[in-house]
Amino acid sequence: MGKMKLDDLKKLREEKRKELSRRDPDKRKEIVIGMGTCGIAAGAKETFDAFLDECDKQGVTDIVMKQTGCMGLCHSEPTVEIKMQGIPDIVYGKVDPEVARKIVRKHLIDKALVNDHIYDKPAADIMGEETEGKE
Amino acid sequence: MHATLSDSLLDLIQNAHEAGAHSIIVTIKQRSSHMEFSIADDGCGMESEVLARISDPFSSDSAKHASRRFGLGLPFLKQGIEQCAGTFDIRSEPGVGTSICFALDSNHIDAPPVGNLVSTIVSALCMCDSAELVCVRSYENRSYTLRRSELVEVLGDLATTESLCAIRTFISNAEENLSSGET
Repeated sequence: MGKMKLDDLKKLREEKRKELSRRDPDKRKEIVIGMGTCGIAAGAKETFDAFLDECDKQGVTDIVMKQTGCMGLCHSEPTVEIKMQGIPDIVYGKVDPEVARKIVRKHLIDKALVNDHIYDKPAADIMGEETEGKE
Repeated sequence: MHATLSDSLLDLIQNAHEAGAHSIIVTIKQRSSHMEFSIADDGCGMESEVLARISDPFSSDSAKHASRRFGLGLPFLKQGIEQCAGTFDIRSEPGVGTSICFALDSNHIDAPPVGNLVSTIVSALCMCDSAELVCVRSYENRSYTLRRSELVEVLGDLATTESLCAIRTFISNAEENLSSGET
């Protein structure tokens, strides 16, 4: 392929927009990936790529990708929080590329939780810090 | 600690973003097997006492978690670069910003693999939503430059999966042309 210019980039995005059907036009979904040192070391970059790939492959639209720093769940990185209307915000842990694809198919499309990967408790030292703050 | 230099690069960009930078300039230069990376930001910078401790893995600014006492990204990168006879330099000034440069021969037997630069750049463009991220990538005498503001002008919201997929194709194309010789 010859070198792409910015106009080609715009056309590419418009083609993708037309190809994909809109499932929930007013309901944006967020995929928030932990991309602190711990997340990156655990493979969060590959997890990010897998989410992108699978959303594109499945034709899932209205997805916004966000990245956050360390959430204190270093022991279960890569961690991903999914936010979408109709389901409570869920933090998933140990999300490798295969689990990422499963989350797209099960959680985002079928609206069913991937139960064996739900992690919502920070590490003990962080929990202690938060508890001290409340005393 | 990080598997590849691309992972370390993303870690450093994340640091710059968390330091409140409005401008982050990333350069990746390659001549034969010699590679140079630099990240310059205008974030909050570091006091000299903090800068003196950056190679200590048991030191962090505690900004994220007050009870945590380690920051591993920079110490492990510095160690990895120095172990393959590379060079590592960091300068910082409070209220001005931070600049990190490191260089190595990627053919050195102890050199970490470069990894997936395209993936790192796509992720960085998505991450740095409050900064102008500029990435200058060169291979021999050929180069390309990406500016986040230009991509936003063309695509709108960069955080959507459609925009990110398009950007990924665009950058992969630029990398292929860099290697094949088309400018």
